[in-house]
Amino acid sequence: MQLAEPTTEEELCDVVRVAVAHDVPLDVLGGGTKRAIGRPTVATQAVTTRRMSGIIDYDPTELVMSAHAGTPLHIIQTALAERAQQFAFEPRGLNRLFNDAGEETVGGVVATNLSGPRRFAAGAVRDHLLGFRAVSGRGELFKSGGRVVKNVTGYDLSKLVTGSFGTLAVLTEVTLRVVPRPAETGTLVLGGVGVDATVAVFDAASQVGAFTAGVLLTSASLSALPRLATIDHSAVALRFEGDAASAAARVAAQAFVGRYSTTILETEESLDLWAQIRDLRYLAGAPGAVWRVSLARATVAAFVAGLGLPADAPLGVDWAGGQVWFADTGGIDVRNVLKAAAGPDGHATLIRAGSDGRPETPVFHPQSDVVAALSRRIKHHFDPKGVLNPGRMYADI
Amino acid sequence: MRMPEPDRAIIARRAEVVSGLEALVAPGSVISDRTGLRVYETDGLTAYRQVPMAVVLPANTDEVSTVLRFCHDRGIKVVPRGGGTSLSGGALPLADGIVLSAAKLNRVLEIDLANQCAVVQPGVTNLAITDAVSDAGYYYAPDPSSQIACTIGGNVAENAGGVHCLKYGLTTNNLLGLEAVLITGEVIRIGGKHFDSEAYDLLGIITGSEGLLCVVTEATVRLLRKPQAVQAVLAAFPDNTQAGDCVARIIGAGLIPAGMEMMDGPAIAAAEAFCHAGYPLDAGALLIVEVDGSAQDVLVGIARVKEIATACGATEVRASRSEDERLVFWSGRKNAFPAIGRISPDYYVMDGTIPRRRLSEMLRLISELSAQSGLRIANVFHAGDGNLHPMIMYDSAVPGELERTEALGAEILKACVRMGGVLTGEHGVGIEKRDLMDVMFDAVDLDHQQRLKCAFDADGLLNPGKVFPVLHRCAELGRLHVHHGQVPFPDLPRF
Repeated sequence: MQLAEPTTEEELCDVVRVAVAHDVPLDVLGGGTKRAIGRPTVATQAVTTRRMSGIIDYDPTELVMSAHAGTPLHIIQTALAERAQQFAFEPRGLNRLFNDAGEETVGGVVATNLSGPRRFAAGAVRDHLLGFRAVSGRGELFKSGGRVVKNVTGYDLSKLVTGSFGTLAVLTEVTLRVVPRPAETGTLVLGGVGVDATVAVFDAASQVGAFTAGVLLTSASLSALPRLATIDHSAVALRFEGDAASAAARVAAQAFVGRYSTTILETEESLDLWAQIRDLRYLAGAPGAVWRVSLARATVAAFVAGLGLPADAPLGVDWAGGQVWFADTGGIDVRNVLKAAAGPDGHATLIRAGSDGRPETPVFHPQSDVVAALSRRIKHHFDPKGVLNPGRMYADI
Repeated sequence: MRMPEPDRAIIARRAEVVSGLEALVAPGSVISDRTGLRVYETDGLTAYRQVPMAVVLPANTDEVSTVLRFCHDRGIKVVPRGGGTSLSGGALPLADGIVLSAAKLNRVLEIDLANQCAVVQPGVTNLAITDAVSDAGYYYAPDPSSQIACTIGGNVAENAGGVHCLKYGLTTNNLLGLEAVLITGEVIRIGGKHFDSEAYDLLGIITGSEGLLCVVTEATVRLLRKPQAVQAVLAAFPDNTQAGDCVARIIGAGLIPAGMEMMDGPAIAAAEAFCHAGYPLDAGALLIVEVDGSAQDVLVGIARVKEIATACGATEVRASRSEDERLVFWSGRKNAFPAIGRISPDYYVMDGTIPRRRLSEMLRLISELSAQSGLRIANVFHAGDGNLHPMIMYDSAVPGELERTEALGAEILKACVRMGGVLTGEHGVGIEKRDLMDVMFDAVDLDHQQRLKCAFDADGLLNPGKVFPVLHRCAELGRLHVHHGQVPFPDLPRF
């Protein structure tokens, strides 16, 4: 497979037009670090945005960052950190999970919409994309949105391209909202909390303080995280942020004394731990397929129980109960479990295929006929010849 | 403002259409008499009026579906309507179309505190959601000024905001799921009680689509726990520049207030006369800055806001000492529109957004434009997110004054785009800003937006005449303008 590396929007338009004219399906890539997510495409050539790189406009007082889509994420994060700012949505880096040394780009972050632990409190990538420029499957450059937070001018196409895995358009430029970095970060680790008690613990904790991350990790997950490896049962970690985060973690601990073991981590240790949780380090070493399940938080215990995972399978309940990640060592049909335990309120995505590849497993959650048909019509209007990542999400998408 | 040419053939079949609709819904759910129809002839943009062919008030999803299929099969246009409070003419009827009202779909279906959400029908008012969960310590965050009357269906269609968007986002950030009906009558369910639906974010594109894509029949919204503490600071400044500077410095200091509102001299005077909120009448500009969170966060935040305001030259800085006092601070701001309505026969509310750093420059320009046109303008802003609401005061009884007002408004909005901003922050494009869309977007941009419309409503029957200045036929938009001969150097290897 050959790789086109356009350096300008015009060159990218040209690449897509040639692909359209010659019926050449393209793999659409940023840094390619999440290329393994999705169904195998029928692409015979590839295009990457990584040579369209650099920050375009960053004004810290406007809380807005614009960059070319191929800009490495770490370059943006460094620029933000210099001004004590960050992305609120904590993009998940999956290099470890896929054992890949590539450099993820900001365009890839938008195209995959993988949001970290703060999502339930601060929104997903889709909530922070203010505007973009992109080349559609028609080989045309178009833009949508703007550089301001409050904007309802025209359809919100930012939502459409976020998480569309390059199947509608190739992003060339993105404008994202940024937020101040908290002065302090404190973590309360409650050892001994089981999955059954998780949501109750989150609810009790929210009565004593506003936490910005709440995660349950099973013992197999804990053993993969050096800071928590000594806890021999499952545990809940709660993150507090702000001027007095450490004090807030201590106050929250009081509510659980006598019921669970309590450990407090200060800022530096906390940042380290939450980066590991964000990047799913607890799953990286495990064999088997890795699933992500989004569900109504009150159904999480029934869902996990229904999975019937072996004790050595790592599992994490993230987003304060709203998202479950686990490595499936036993060949489970997760969607049947979801149907039984969570009802209609949830969906499952196969993030990393197991060793057998299981090509018959749908990667994204099956949709109703009407929604599937609607999605196909959208795909057809933006990419009529199906040259952008064809088949990556569903058979015709 | 020109609306699409009415289809005379459809209007000629009005009686048949009305009786056809009557057969589909419960008795008394179709309004077709002249007096009854007049109620629906306009919305919050009262300068425009049009009586529809009929108004239908379905009572459930099945009725919505049947009515839409009926209209789809016969090529009848449909204008969905919630509370009818749109300030951009989003619910303006069409002479050859029907209005589909959410008035009977007004039930809170489920309050699910364990999952921190509520499931409501589209005709439930914004404030009714908060009222239903307030005792349990929860609230629904988006709070447009019209929240007592506007409905959640309309909020979804317009992606409504409010004074707390800076920290809590707009409707789109607080919505989990939807049930909606396509123009074909097909029912779709998107999302649910969980975050982020699978695959394409249809929830995200339906929100803010101004009733052009589908009709919402049920919404699942997020409920947030009320913050432990809330306090507001009222800061008065001699002029707009200092207040604008204060806004930039608060953000620059790493604070994200729950709300940060600004009013200029004329707005202060009008609001004070209307509400007696205790605003200092000698101030050139007023800021209301609200901080929420834990008691400690609020203590620290309020102290820093007071310190920054003083350093920026505030002549008076007051922190609310009680919940009652905080609400009094807000009363003037939340009633700014009716307050202007009291001192002017008519007023026209604008809604542009600009980068915060251009606030004072924009205010100077607005005051110059006001002087040139001879029309008075009072300004209120969601200063934290750069969203301006200049209110142009005019008298529709004076010939030509509405036209001059609209021209002045258009100048202000064009200036917003020139300064790196946008035409509308939260009121929507509707008919009001439709013809300005090409100031912000080129033809290729607008074609891509309309292709989304084609995927939902290929015949263009849902709310036509809104948002897009030129409506292209979907067949025309579907054509691919790329041919072998048009690509430069087609044989050159690109890969």
